Amino acid sequence: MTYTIRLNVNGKEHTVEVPSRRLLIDCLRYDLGLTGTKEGCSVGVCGACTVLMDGKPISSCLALALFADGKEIVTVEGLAREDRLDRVQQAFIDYGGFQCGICTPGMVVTAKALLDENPDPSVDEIKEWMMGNLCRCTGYYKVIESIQGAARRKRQAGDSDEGL
Amino acid sequence: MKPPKFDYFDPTTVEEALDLLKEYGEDAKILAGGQSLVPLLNFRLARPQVLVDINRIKDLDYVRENNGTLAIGAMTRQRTLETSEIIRSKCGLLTDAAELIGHPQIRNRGTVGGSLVHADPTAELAAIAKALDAQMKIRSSEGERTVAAKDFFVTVMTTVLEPSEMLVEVEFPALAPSAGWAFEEFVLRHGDFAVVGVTTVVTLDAKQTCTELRLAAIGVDETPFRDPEIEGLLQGQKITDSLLDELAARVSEKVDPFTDLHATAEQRKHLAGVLAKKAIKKAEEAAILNLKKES
Amino acid sequence: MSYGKIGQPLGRVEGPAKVTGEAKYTADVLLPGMIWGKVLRSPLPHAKIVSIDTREAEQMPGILAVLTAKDLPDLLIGRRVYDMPVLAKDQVRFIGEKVVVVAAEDPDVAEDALAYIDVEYEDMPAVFDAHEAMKPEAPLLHPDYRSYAHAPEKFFSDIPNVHSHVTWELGDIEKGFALAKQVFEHTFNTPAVHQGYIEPHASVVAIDPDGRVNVWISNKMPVRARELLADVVEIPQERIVVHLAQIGADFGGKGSLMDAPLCYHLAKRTGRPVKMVMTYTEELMAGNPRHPTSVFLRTGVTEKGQIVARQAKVVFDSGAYAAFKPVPFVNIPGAKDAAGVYGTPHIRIDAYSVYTNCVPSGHFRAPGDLQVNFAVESSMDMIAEDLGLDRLEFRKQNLLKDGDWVPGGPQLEEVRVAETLAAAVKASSWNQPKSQPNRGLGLAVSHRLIGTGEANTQLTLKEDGTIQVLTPVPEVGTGAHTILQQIVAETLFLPLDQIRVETASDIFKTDSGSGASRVTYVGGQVVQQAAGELMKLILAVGAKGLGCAENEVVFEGGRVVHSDSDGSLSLAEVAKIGGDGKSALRVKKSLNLSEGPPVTTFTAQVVELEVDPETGQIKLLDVVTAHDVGTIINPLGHQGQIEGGLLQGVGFGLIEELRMEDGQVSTLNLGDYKLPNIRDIPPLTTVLVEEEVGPAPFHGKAIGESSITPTGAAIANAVYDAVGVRFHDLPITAEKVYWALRQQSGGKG
Repeated sequence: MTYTIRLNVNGKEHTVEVPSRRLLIDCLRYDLGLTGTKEGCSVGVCGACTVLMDGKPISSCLALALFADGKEIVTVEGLAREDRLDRVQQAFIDYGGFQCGICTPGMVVTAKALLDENPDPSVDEIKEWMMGNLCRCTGYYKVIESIQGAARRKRQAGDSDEGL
Repeated sequence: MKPPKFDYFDPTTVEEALDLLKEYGEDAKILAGGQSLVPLLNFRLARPQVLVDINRIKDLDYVRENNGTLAIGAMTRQRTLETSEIIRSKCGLLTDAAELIGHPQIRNRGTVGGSLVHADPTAELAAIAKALDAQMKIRSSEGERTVAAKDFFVTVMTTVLEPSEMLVEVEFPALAPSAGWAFEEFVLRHGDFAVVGVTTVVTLDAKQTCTELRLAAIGVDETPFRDPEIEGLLQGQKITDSLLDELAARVSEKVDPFTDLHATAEQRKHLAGVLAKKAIKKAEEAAILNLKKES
Repeated sequence: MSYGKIGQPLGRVEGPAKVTGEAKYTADVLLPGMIWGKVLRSPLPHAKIVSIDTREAEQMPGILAVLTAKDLPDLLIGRRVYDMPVLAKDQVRFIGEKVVVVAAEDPDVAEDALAYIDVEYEDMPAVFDAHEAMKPEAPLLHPDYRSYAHAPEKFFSDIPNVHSHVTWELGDIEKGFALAKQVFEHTFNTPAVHQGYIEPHASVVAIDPDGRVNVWISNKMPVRARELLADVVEIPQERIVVHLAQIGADFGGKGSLMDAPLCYHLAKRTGRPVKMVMTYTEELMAGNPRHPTSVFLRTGVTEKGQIVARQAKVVFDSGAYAAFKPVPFVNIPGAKDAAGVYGTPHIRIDAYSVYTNCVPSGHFRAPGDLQVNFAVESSMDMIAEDLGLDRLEFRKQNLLKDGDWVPGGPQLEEVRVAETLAAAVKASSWNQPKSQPNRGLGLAVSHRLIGTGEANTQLTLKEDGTIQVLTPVPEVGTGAHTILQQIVAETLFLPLDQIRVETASDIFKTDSGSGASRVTYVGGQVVQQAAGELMKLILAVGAKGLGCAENEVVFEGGRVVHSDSDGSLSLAEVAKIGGDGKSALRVKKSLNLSEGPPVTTFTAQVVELEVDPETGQIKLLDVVTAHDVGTIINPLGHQGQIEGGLLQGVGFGLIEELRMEDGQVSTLNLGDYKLPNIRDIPPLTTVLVEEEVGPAPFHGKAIGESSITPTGAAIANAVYDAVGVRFHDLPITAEKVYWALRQQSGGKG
């Protein structure tokens, strides 16, 4: 038996038929073709599958697609506007916040939610917020620098949303 | 690593949910935040025929204060424990302990009720419920009953809930303004599941004599460990190192832990004592500060 | 020397794709009509397969194919020796071995079907420990080993289950021990650990109507993968195209075909493109983890504290198959570091790789180096203490010098180990008085040869004036593509955005791919040489276009300029004129280096930590990592390699272990298998001892496998300094420390 769900992903409305057991990650990747969201551990430990549901980071491997019915989802594909990267994305490039890039979609989405809530996080606050996102390449030092860098640039830009 | 097949219902009222539970009985399982159940489904360690998703029951997500108690709806997200001002002011132990539960992604979905009903022997909320004598409000289509936390947890992953019942609310007593509390854990990696954890609330009188100790430990038994005799050790006493050593030894002696991948039973016994001492000391310091603030 | 593009801390060329989710990894490949494969794995460590009944699974709706060994060619595979079946045929040799594969429209349905397959097994005696497996009474896992393709005859052994025995010698070991005043013996053990890349292995195969086989695979050596796949599915290499996808990290673990042959067979059977993605549980039970290793050291020291003899016996637990070992001698190269960074005149090292009924082991960043370094550097502290010498002075007295030979390596030049060690000590609190009880300092030093192998490239001047750099090396996360871009830009004096690094595997016949800290060294040289040749072509064609002689043109400001007139041509104009007026300006180049360079790299680390005597928990207070480096091509990437490797070393030292009991892995998810998270990172100071002496282009050196190596030993030595307990086994978990402390205090709690 399948169910019809309606969800808004990155600002776009979708109607999808899913079996009850369809996980949100598979719905995003295979029903909607949004393969930016990655699957690592499948048990909510690694954070690679993190997406925002109604603005909050969640593990899409631990959510049924049915949970997303009527919700707003933001994935890594939804952060950049037109051809301009979000500050967090640009900072991860400039400060070396990734290497292989497999954890990066989850990292930038989680970091984006952090800066939306706390524009000037301390190192401890960054660690506390990001501890559900595993990275095996960077040793995390440059992840922290990237998030601090994005926060700094945002403060320097003031209210203006222009310029990175 | 994907769930087996199941039938799915997402009722919007408690009554509807209870009717479904009555109809499907043992074949049904309630799906709350999914942070414990979905991994079990992904591993196919749980194979329920029917899932009753209660995420759309808006009425179960609330935090209310009534007459010195704090009533928390079963579908309140764990994240709310960190952000709710009422919880912080009435039962700050919940606020402080919340950051020990998994990581932010988990707490954004995971619920207070879900954690309690899952009854993992290392769950922080179960320890707090037991230490504070929380009251669990349970409903079925037949009616309602209230069970004290000490009677709620039966064994590993098992509570007193009948298949037709669901937990709808948990009521925590407000903590005295002068009380001090702590939650100490031993983890193998920061932010991991606790190997052993101890939570405690210490109340002092104006002379800094202990008038009440509450103490519960996780990871040392099938359900959260609490022992009135041990709590009585500090009753009417000044808290001293030698008293704490004695208490720690009693804790280590009385707990009945298990050996698993993460620790041996013997180490858990030892850790329970060490953490009990650490937690009481920390709680005592907090209580002294609170006393000073009051006077 | 100053450069334009070299030495810039540049973000990645593939950066925008990776931060937007555009970057495609193998699991992201979606093809019309694609179906999914899933495997049923063995629940037993060693057993005969009596029968397999797949009838019920075949009847299930949505199931498109069910294959067992009898449906496949009777062939074995491996990265070097071919010893592993694609699906187990008559017997299984480890828990997790693939027995049956099913294909379905939907991965969940494929997984459902596995529960309906009946396999009847008959238990066989099993062995789970490499030393047990070497005993005469041990069950033999591969009685026919010597007949396997590519089995290394020179390294056969008569010891049971030893599939490769390699010896490295310097001087005369007997003579060495005769010179020694004292002889020390120590044994150390390290467990299996998983590479921990977050991308599980994935494979996709799609067969075109004309028979062309398209492959996407998480494999860092695509050219080699094509060669191996051709062998095992019995088709000519020319029919296979390996499409390069991003790789969600390698760390040595992504060099095999993994499920690609099964995807091929399912695709052939069903006529549909087939994808297989391992779950992380499958990764942990049947990936290719670092070898569990035991290292026995025998060290001869003179009265004056000079090391004169080192004998080492290194036993690697290969698991059930040697198929994941890539090197020709089918053993683990790191064993040759068993003399450490110390100039030792008489050395004999014996490395044994041994079959057991455990998970087959493979390569993990600095394979063998970590295991052996933990032993060597722990023993250095122990010997110093026994001799009453300061552990730093004892090391300094024995360090390698210019002109020393190392086992299996060259005669060393430009040795900077003393400076590196001094820098690490200086940046740490080594020389300060001990601050508090239960705190300690430990140090360890390691050496890394720079890898050899074959690299290829093709450079083309495109009509838009950009330079296309084709490489068969996929981006595994190390930043290789950015470095190749920088080297070409520097060589051609062009802006970075005029250089486009792209991947292609099908225009090259052979290539070593990524690994062994080789890419910057070999891959860098080949693009540098090709760029030089391309410049000559550009000047020649430019001169022709300008109607002058080649010696009358120069390359200036991105244009070919006639020095005697105002005439000049842009690169786009040169491209249009073309080589001989017919084809594009193109240089294809190959470089195969079999001898490692005499200039190598050293790492010295100092760890300061505190032990909680009540719980045994270790807290890292400070880590200093010092490296002798050449010209750093990309400081951002370089530092990233140091930091990432270091945290893997911390994991190896403190928390990581693929726990196994009777061949059954019990840490079967990333909750139980502990990768360090962001809150586990220690305060870190990096010291770079810089000198422009490296063998890579622009005097660069390798860095990828440096920082991971000495961390385990430095931690062990610091724990000893803190609480006086010596650990011979990693990881040093809190529980181990707690029990050791209890034993030390005579059993009192």
